[in-house]
Amino acid sequence: MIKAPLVAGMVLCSLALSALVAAPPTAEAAISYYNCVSKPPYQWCDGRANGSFDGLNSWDYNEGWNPGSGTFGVCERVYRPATGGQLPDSSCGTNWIGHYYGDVQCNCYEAEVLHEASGNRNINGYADSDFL
Amino acid sequence: MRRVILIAVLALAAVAGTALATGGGDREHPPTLAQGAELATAIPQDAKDAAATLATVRDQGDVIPEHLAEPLRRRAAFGANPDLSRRTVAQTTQSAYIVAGHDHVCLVLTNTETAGWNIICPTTQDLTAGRAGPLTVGLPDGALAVAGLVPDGIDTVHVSDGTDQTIPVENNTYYRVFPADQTPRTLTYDGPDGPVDWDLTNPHELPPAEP
Repeated sequence: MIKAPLVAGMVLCSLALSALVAAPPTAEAAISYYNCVSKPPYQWCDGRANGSFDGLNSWDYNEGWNPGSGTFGVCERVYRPATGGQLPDSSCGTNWIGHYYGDVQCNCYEAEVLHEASGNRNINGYADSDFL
Repeated sequence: MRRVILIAVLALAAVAGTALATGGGDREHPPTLAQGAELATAIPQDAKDAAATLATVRDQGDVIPEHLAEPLRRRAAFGANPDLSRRTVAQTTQSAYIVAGHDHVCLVLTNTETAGWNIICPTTQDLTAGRAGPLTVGLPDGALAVAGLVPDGIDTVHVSDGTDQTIPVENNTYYRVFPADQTPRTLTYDGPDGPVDWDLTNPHELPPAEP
């Protein structure tokens, strides 16, 4: 009689622990600084190579900038690799660009930047998943 | 416990980000409000001298809707303070605002459909010299928005190659939306120091994925 509740409790604890470990990623606040070193022009940088890739998240804000000298174009987007789509209104500016996408819910996006210089350049990005 | 770990991770990310921002070259990442940025409390005189729009009396129409102003405050890019904004373009979906910061003047293009904004922040020095680069935004259905800031004295800008149009400057701002079949490639105008020429990038034409 005593063992039944004990076993039930252990099962419940086990299930709870499994749920905690195996739970899908939630849209918790995250800040990402990412960069690419000596990146060729017109190639999206998400920090995977020579950077700090922070995976998929519900990025509300994305920013790109030229960390070095000179002047060149910088573009940004928030990209959904599963579909090949992206959030609307991706943008380009000179040396620095910022974009607030609103309250993004899907935990399924990469924040990316690229540069338009004539040769390989460093490019930096900054993204925030909880901007409001 | 998870909260503690999350805070620790965020703190580490902030430290790493600062190191990244300061170690990679000449330009540092402008801090956010949470990272210690200070919002401009008044419009600097040199910004008013570059763009007379900033010297006008601010009225209710110049106020950025709060749900868009608050994230601007949190970002605080270059100290840009949305409470100092002047609206320069008013359209049904998009509006443009000029917002002064510390040694920078920002152009904020808001979108009522996405409840978001795009922002560029040329230095006041570049704006004064007519060297503030354009903002291009890839809108739905392949349309392209082109916007930018120019100093007093420039009344028109010209786009060409793909379409040939003169855009009037109003309130130190040029702005036009081009349909998908009219993609301009260059933007020119006569700046204080002579002709200025910018290439225009259409975000719709950028590569779809990493190679």
